[in-house]
Amino acid sequence: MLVNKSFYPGPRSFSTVTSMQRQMEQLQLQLASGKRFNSLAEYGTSRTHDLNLRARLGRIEGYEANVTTTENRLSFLNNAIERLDEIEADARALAVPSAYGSDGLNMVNASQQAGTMLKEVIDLLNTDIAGQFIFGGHVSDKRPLSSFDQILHGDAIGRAGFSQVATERKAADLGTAGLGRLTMDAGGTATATLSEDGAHPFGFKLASMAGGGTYATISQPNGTAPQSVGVTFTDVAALKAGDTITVGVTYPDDRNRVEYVTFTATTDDPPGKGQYLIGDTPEATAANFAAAMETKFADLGKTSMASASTAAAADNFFNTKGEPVLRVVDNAPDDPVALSADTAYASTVRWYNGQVESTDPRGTVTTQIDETTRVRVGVTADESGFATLIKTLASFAISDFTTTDNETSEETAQKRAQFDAMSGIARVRLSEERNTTEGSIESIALELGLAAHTVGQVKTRHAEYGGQLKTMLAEIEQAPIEEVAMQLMTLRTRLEASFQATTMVSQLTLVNFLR
Amino acid sequence: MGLSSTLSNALSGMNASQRGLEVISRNVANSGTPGYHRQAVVLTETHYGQASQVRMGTVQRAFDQALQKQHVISVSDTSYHAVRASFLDRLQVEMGKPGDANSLDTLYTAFENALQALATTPDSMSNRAGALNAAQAMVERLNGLSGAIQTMRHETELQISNAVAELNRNLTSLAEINNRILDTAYDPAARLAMMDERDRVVTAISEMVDVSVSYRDNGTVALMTRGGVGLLDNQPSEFQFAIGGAVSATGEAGMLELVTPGGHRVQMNGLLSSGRIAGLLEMRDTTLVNAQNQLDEIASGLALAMSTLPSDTAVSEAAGTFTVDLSAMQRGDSFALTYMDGGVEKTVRVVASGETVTDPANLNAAGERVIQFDLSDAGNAAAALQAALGGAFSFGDDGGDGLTVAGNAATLVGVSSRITATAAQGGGLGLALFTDAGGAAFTNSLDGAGQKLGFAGRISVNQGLIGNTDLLVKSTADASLGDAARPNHLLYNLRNMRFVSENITALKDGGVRLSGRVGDLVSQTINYQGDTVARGFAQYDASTMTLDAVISRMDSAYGVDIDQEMARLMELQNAYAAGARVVSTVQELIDALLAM
Repeated sequence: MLVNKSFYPGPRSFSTVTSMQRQMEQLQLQLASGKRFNSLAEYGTSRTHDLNLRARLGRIEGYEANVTTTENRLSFLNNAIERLDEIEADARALAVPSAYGSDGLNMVNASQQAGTMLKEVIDLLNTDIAGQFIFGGHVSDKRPLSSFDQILHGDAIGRAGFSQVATERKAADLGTAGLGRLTMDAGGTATATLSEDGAHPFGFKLASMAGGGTYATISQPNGTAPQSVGVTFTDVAALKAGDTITVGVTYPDDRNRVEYVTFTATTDDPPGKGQYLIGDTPEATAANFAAAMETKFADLGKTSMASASTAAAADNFFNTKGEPVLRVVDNAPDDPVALSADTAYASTVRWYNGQVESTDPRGTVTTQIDETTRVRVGVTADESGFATLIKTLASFAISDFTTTDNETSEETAQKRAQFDAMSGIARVRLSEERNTTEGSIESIALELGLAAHTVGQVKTRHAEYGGQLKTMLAEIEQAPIEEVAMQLMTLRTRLEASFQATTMVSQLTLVNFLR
Repeated sequence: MGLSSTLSNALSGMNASQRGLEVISRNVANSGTPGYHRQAVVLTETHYGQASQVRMGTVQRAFDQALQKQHVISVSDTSYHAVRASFLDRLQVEMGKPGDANSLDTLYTAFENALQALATTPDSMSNRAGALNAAQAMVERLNGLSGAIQTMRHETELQISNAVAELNRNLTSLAEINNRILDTAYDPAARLAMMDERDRVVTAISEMVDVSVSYRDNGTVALMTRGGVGLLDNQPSEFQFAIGGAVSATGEAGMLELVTPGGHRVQMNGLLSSGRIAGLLEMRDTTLVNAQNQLDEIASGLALAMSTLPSDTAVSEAAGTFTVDLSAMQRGDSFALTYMDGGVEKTVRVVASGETVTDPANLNAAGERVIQFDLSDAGNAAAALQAALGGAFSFGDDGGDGLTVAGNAATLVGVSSRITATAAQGGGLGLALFTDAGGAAFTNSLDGAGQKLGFAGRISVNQGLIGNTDLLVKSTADASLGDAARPNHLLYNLRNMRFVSENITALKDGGVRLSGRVGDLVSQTINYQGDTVARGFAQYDASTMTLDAVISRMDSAYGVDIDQEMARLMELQNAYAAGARVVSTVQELIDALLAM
């Protein structure tokens, strides 16, 4: 660096000319690159502002990428859920009591159609985006639902599927006596008692008894299991044909729903269904009453109880909300008296393999689309809407309502009664009233719709804000072309003038004039 | 006699004109020579009796001591700022402009966004690979910048040694010139030329170091630095500089020493205030070190944000007594006790370290009192801490690896831990994404010079993650790939953890201390460096303008104006011709007289 060597008596104007030329080069560079600043130091005081703007813009771009990913996921989810809603409607249509069709066509059809619909539901809930499953919460590398065959019929290593669980449950609920785990007895006395055969969760449970009056006294259940009710006939003469005694029982699929079985006194011999012959003595009447109960409950056992049992088995097998799967504990040669939880799924097929989140399924997958805005788009396939649909379809799929050629009319009637009972249960479970419960398909669709709305709003906000920031950044960094061009022109004029003046001055020396 | 005195007058006048012509010719010949001072003839009149004569007195050399001193100062300052500007220019090219593809702020934003994408879709392999790529790019840039800074420091040392060699040469030759000037046997014209040379050499020396010149009456000079260290009196002192080997952030730098003629050694690091060498030293020891420190802060912040476990790790509380599990602590990990002292909340931070510091002089930058201890054994640690912190707390040992703390004289508000993750899985949500050289964990250990010093040159991405990107997501072996807990934790730390730098730049450089989140650290660094470069350029421009002004003053004071010399030449020419005419007239008269 020649500091003092630049002593050469060149006029100072030369150095200013050099600096003007350097300035010209800089302006040319600005014009060519379009940027006002071409090095870090040139930014000066706008450096801080520039850095902040760029940091903000970078963040926004990151969030916009997240928004795209979330929108993609939401569209896949919505497609699947819309179709599931249609299947739910179809399921409702197929479970219509008393719509047997000609020769029971509808009943046969119901079973097969339920199977097909169940397969479709399983496929929909196993939707994936490029290999990541979206209906399992954040467990995205395993299929949320096991396959149709595994669920219904068990798997190759001998674990039980739904059919086996349902069979076990039906046997447990019916009891070896075939009376739905109830015992009825008169025992030669004037009191006919009806009692549960033990303290266990199977079979009928007695809720109430009503009727009686002058001719009989009723004893109510006393609240401790096993319950029993009784009718003590007092005055046979006061008993007339048409007097009714009603027993309230609950079925295993829903212990809050009481159904009433009515026994009418009659003088017909033999008494019809649900009727008992008025005897001469209270003892005889009691005996007749007990016999009538036995016939009635045997019949109910084969029809309503079978369907209710299947529904209860579905509740046991398709466990939701973190509860374990329940199996009937074998108690041979006696009837089973307990359910056990198979928490390790050692002998039962696990129908749902995704994340188990009972309190906040939506929160299993969250994405951040803004500084403080997170959208929650997680869906687990064991939510109540999906589970109820699957339970209903599975129940229909494993039931066989086909009429064979050489069956009696009574068997046909029983099958029809089973179909009615199953359809009744299905209609209640799938009814539109349940749309507002948490986890129903409609409420899931609503929550996802709200998330999509939020995403859309945030996307618009990002686009606007990003545009504003880009404008501000351009104002700082872009070289204003007109200004630069004007400066170039003025500089050119000054340079030309300087060159002229320098040349003139250098000619003006006395040496030129000496002779 | 009339005629002879006329003759001798005319002859002396012609003599004087000759001498004058000689001086003019010398001026004109040297009009382009740098460092030449205009010479002028001083004529005096003498008389013997009735005859007066012109006698040439001395040749005077144009010299203004004040101007000379001003020049020397300007040259030093300009040289100082020039060398700084050249290095700062290189620094700003390395750092790049905000928004450039390889600028730190762009790379940091890309890294943060890659982590964001990872938190949104952790099960996507391309997102995991993208996060690692962004981390790698950031790390490579930090390494590159750090390497560039250390290379520049090494170059300053090379340039210092060159400058020192030149300086010594100049000092020796100035001493010789002094001696020759003292010798009055020299021809005056030669003496004047030597004085020009003397001034040139003084300027050359002032380019290297700041000098304060004293001009003696006999023409010799004595040199001192502006700070008062003698450079040349009778004999020159010698500068010595030993290059410090491979320059690195943690290595020793070379030392500049001055050896006086008597053998006394003076350390000059910090005694020079201006000149090229001082500029190089300033770059090596202050500006570039500041830049390196700031990069180290960024690297340390990145590594700690990724690997720090939540602050309640290893701390449990039962009925007012806190238990800290010391088994998880590595050197550099720490726990902090927050307590109330006279209504003011204070913090004591106990850092696991190989050295013991029990009574620090000052609070650290975050306002905490930092105590360093060996925390490998809970029992020993409890006893030592109790001795160090006195009655404010009561420390105990729970029999295993836990240290119990309870408030005694002071009310204990809380205990929080700052522990870095060790294993990739099973240790918590933190992940050692960035490691030190050789795969060692970065824990900001305070042992020795501190692990943070030079870390920007050593930081690298954890090699264990390169082949196994699942570890970015799976904090335990059986976690699912879709669980975004770990990426969310990493992102939360990156966006919220605050760091305060212990290093603060000098007040004259702005007194800047980096503080804030990692993104803030990056912005502040780029801003500060840009500012420094701009300031360096501005100072260089200002000093150059001052030097230009001084030089043009010197031009007009010492420079040769050709026109003036030509005019003078014409005068002398006429005077000579007139004198010659007088002589020839006298000659004719004498001839006429003799011819009588």
